[in-house]
Amino acid sequence: MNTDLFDRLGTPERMREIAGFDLLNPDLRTSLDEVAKRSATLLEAPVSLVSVVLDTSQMIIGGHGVSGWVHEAQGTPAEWAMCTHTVLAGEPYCVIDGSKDPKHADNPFLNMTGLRSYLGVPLIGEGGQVIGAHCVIDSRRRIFTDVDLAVLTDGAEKVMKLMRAYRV
Amino acid sequence: MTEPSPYGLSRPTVEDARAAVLRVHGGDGPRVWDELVRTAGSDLTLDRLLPVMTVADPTTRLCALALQIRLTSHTHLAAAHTTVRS
Repeated sequence: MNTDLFDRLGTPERMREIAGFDLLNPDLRTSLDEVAKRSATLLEAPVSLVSVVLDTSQMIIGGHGVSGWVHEAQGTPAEWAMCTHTVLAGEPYCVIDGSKDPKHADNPFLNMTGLRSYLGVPLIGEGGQVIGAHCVIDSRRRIFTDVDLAVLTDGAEKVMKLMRAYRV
Repeated sequence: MTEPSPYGLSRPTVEDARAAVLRVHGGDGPRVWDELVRTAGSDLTLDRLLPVMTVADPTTRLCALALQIRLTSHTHLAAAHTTVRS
């Protein structure tokens, strides 16, 4: 396994902040699915995710357009997750065409799903930790606009507002 | 028979679980791990350990969720890999 990456993601402070939410609550899931659906619709993207990035995996806590093994697992290995890059950057992260981008061309997640472009914004907890990301992923090469980013940022604010109601 | 590693993804092991617990608990990790092992009992396997981790403290629970995602991903992809190769 990718120890260096997992050590960066799995710091005790960050994991504690994620653990402060009732992530498996079905009502929270329903609400976050709605946020993802809204972002996908507004940005005309086939896939949108709300996810927390744990130490070794991305865990989907709300989604739209998710299918296949990713749907079955409700996540992906952290080293394949585009949202891992958003979390580590701590700021919006964009990929115009993963198939042509040397950093992502070999990513099994993109290769298997046929997805190519990505825009994600970080989800930041009250303790200041970047706990996850809200994103859209498209199957075509795509240059995202400032308006796209604003829509997604608004979605991320809605996500954090919802999550704050599910603290444990 | 060698366990398949589709796309380089290996099936998580007990050692991976131990590394995760030590990582996320910092200095308290060895104590938490010892407690998990004691609860899971002898003949320690990931299948025995994951349910114990799932009802442990909230941070350990997250490790279990993360490992379960890797396990499910591996199971599905290994099955597809085997189908394609046969």
